[in-house]
Amino acid sequence: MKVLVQRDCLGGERIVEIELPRPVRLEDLDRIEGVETRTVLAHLPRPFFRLDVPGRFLLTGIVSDPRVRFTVRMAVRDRALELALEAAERLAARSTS
Amino acid sequence: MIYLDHAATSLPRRPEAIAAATAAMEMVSPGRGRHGPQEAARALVEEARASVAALGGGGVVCFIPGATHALNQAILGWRPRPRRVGLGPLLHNAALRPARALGAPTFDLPADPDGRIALDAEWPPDLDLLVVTHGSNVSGLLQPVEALLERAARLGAAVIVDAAQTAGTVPLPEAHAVAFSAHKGLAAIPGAGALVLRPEVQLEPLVRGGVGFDSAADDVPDALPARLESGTANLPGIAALGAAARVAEPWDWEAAGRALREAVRRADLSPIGAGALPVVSFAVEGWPPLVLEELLDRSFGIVTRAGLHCAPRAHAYLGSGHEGALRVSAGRGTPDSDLEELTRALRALRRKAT
Repeated sequence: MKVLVQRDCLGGERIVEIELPRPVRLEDLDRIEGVETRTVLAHLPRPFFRLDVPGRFLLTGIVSDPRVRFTVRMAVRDRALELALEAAERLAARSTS
Repeated sequence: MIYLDHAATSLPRRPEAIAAATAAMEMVSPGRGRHGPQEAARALVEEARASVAALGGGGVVCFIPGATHALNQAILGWRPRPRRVGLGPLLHNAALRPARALGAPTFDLPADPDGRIALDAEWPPDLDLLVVTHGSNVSGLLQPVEALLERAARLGAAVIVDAAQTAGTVPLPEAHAVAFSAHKGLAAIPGAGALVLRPEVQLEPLVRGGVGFDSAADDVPDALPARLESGTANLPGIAALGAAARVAEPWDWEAAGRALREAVRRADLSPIGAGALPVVSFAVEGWPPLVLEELLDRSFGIVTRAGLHCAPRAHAYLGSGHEGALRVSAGRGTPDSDLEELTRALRALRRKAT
């Protein structure tokens, strides 16, 4: 797990980009908790996904690519790295099924 | 990579500019000493000055490290201190922040809904300095600066113009002060720029130091450009700027602007505000601009720019002040195929997701 970027963005949110130890698969997204909206643009040349976790973060990335971006909401920005790493661990965890 | 962020910096750089900068790296500092190598460097600077003067503006060209520095110098150094400063609606922070820091009362210049300054609006009688953007870095709107200059002249007001988006594209207006960078429309390199001043304008320098002559004097000389050029010149940057200015042939930027707007409209999206320059911002419902920027970059290899573009005043005026917008901007060499790919990408992301 490698933290690539940590920076502030518009509106006081905090961006954390992480490189996972392996590329993200669609089924990995199921392990993220509290997802309200899940969008996968599977028809794009490089399929793009976006998960909205209200009150915590927006997770975006490309399927089959290890790099993901967390846009951590302002209310929890002080815990941005902790929340991003925790979710990244879940993404990268081995499937139990 | 499909590069649509020319409003931030132009790529590729002019080969002439890169060659000139590279050659200048091996030269001595201009104006320091009286030896032959210095004379060659000094000649290079003066040659660049003449080339930049040909871009318009009609004044004395002072080399300054970019539009932000030049605007700070012009606004904060303005003498006598202005009684009231008129601010254009689409100002970039490079002009807005120094204008606010000046501490003088300000007046928001009335404008139409696109941000075009209204020439028939009433202005306060004590308005004596206007700060305006020539071309918006958000909507591509080109202000009617020549007409604005006439109106200001009738009232005895001076005009400072931010020409960051127009230098090298549109002839520079003959304003009291015109500021621009080398690395945008001119496609030279960052770190260089110019402030073109009418000869009668006297600014308080923000930077003081050696100028290569009059060293025994207590202060920098009154004469331009030396008054504003203290310290060792950025010879590679100036050489690149001069070379780029020399080869800055006219191009059909209006056609480029129309083509870019059309590329956005073909995806059933609406440009924010009206503009002519090839700079267009827009929003896509349900997609924060930053996510859109990431998606276009990572899924399609299209480089754009999301956010407020350092112009929150312009976004607020145009109704996109909350989270900004996504901006696409084209340059001289942008092929039609890049715009077609932009349309394809925008259409694709609006198709039903799973």
